[in-house]
Amino acid sequence: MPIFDMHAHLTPECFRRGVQSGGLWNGMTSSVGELGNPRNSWIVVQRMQGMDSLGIDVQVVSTVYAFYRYEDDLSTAIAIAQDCNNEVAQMTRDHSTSVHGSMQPADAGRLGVDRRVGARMTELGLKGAMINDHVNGKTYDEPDLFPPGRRQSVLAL
Amino acid sequence: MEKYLLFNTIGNLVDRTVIFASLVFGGVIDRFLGLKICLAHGEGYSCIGIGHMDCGWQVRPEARTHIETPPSKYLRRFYYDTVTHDDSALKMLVDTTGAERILFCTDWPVDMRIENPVQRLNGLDFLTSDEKRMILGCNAGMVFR
Repeated sequence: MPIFDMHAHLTPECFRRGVQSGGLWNGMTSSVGELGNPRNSWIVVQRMQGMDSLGIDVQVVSTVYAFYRYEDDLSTAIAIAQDCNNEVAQMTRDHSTSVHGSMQPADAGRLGVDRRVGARMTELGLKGAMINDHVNGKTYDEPDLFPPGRRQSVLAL
Repeated sequence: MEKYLLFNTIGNLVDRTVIFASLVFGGVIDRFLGLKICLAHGEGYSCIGIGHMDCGWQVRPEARTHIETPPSKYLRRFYYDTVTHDDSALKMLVDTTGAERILFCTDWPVDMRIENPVQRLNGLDFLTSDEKRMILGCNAGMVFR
């Protein structure tokens, strides 16, 4: 039986490249992403070695909450989510037996109402979604966030 | 909450309790029967607070607006992760919800990750061998089925 770690994180390389030398990435600086933790800069091979050392066969990988930018304007949030999701999806394609990916919705407020979120998750080959506990103070019992008739697999951070 | 890392060490767990309560009291879990939700960080304070939630549901009509059964009946509708940082808290979670609702997690690679997680879980004497297998991998298979 493979051992699954259902809650592991990734600080996307696209972000790390963007903020190195004091740069900006979609308005974000190196102050987020916990780059002081060397494991957040590990390449995939190092990640796999780390998993082996812990006895873990499969990691379910999601970005960390710092990249859930629900408070940003939607175009920025979409740009961030697309880059993050593409990177996680590529990792799952490259290492399909060791990595499952979780989607980061650009706007978790649309998670329950927008069928494209689920379609995009399937298209990217991701297994679920990691969402924050609320959307700018709105909890998920708000009727405009989760109306009847949708079915999705969701992981909450 | 910025002081002493409390936004993380307390706020993170409060947030998780709020999401449990809002999904349950708001009737979302009843409406989305196929929804599979894993509450990270061992569900926060949901298990320890479930008695208060049940009592509120019994005595106050506004707590019964969307649900016909007490909140405790919904505990087994969620999955929970093992990131409790305390074995007795994990035992309470398993005793309350059942090992089949628990998913092995590490929160890797953050500084508050679980160290030696597989070894640690396998060393817990309150779990049977079958329960350890369920938590380490079998339950994940059910989630992704």
